Amino acid sequence: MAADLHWLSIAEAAPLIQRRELSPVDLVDACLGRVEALDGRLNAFITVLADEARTAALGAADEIASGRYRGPLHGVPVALKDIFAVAGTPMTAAALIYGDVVAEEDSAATGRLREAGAIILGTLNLHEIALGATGINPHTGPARNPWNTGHITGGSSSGAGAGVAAGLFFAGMGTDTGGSIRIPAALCGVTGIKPTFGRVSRRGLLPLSWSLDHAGPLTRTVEDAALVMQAIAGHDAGDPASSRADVPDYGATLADGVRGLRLGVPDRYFGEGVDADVEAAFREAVRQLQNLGAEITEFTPPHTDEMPGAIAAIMLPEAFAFHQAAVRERPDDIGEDVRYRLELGAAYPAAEYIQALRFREMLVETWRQDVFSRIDLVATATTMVAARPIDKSDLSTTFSLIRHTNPFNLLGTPAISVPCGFTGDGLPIGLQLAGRWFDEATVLRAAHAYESTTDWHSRPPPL
Amino acid sequence: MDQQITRDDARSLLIRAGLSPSDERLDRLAQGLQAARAAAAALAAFEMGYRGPAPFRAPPASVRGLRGS
Repeated sequence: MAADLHWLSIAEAAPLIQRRELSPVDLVDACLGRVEALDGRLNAFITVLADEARTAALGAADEIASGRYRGPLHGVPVALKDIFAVAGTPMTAAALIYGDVVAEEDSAATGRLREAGAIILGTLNLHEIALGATGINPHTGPARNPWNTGHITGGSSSGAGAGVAAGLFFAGMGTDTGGSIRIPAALCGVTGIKPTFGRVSRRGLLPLSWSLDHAGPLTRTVEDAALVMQAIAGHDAGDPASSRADVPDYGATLADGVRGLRLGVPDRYFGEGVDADVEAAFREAVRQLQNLGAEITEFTPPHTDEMPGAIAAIMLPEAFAFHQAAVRERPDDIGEDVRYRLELGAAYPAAEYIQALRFREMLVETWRQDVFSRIDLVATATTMVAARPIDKSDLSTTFSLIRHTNPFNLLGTPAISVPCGFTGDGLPIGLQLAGRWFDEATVLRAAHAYESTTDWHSRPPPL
Repeated sequence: MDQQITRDDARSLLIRAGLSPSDERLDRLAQGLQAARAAAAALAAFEMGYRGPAPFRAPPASVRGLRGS
């Protein structure tokens, strides 16, 4: 077993750790060995906290030996996108403009992971300041896709996608403003969930767009995503948008299957112009869910024509509002694509931003009344394309990556990506399932049911 | 939106925001702004009735003074 420790799921490792048949020290060493062997090629990490992780693993082992087992994340190595504050560690946002900032205290998510006993292995590469979907970064270099290191991981949580897929750690924390958890999950062949807006605190994260930012995990299985969500979800007074909604026991309904669930497949917008391999894999996944008992229905998603403009009119001005000092004072230290988006954000008239906020209010109400009253879940391919070559990824690639994901940022609903196949070139494809606000349990349950009947998630990349 | 956004328009908008765009970047910015303006026009034409953005809600005392979230 020792050689394959890094491929265990959290759910598999946890009982071994609890019974002291597996030491957190061995698990951390297995991951650090993997990082040493592979990260020169993958570029997933920005800072590796090897000494700190070994010390924490020894502490976890002692704690468990003394009968104080904290739960399924105890002793499990995780890593966080480098916009989550980790006390005493540089928080660079993979950007020159913030490269000298050292976090004074943990982010809320970092703290909750530590409380659950997780071992922080380090901080992860990303698209500069999380404002982009390819993961290409002129400062830190691109994280590389474990399925083909000449291809992008997707972003912005690029290191999290690459690292989870390559077995460098068991869970990677990401953020998602327009798809930045689900896109790298899809392109790297892992699971990623964007929870409901307000479900997971953003305290201690570098903001991109306050009203669209979400935090959530990337993992190798849906069950692992549920375990991490259980640890990080819940109200936090330090995030003004944090919800007081109760957090259910996600594990309690995970195995309930999809029989009787109403699965909506959009008849427009989503699916238009999708690559043939991606479309075929998506249609097969829907058939599989139908075979498992889901009721499939087509529906017309409301107001999709206006969605992209509304998202841009909110995200870009909010991003400029936060980063404006850097854009004014150090524009040449910002990568060209990110600078371009921030400058566009600077030029939006206030009325357009307000109009987009008004539209979002109406949109949420319309989807609540007209869509989620009739169906339980929306199913789409996560992205229109699989991972593109790094040297051929441009703005049109970004469009193809975000078109299916960012509507659910505008809506604020939970959405997950799970592996649903491979292209003819051997690159992963993702299935996206989105549910009602605060109903992560149904999203996880359906994704788990699908995953349980396929082996896409358990195939290792050819590293 | 019929009105074309020119390089000079782009320069003016960015200067108003306190930025100093270089000449070689203005064409691309003008194109981006044109696309953004067209999308915004679709929103402006949308009938939303007497509906404002989400109401202001004061943050709890425990978070006052924090920079962002």
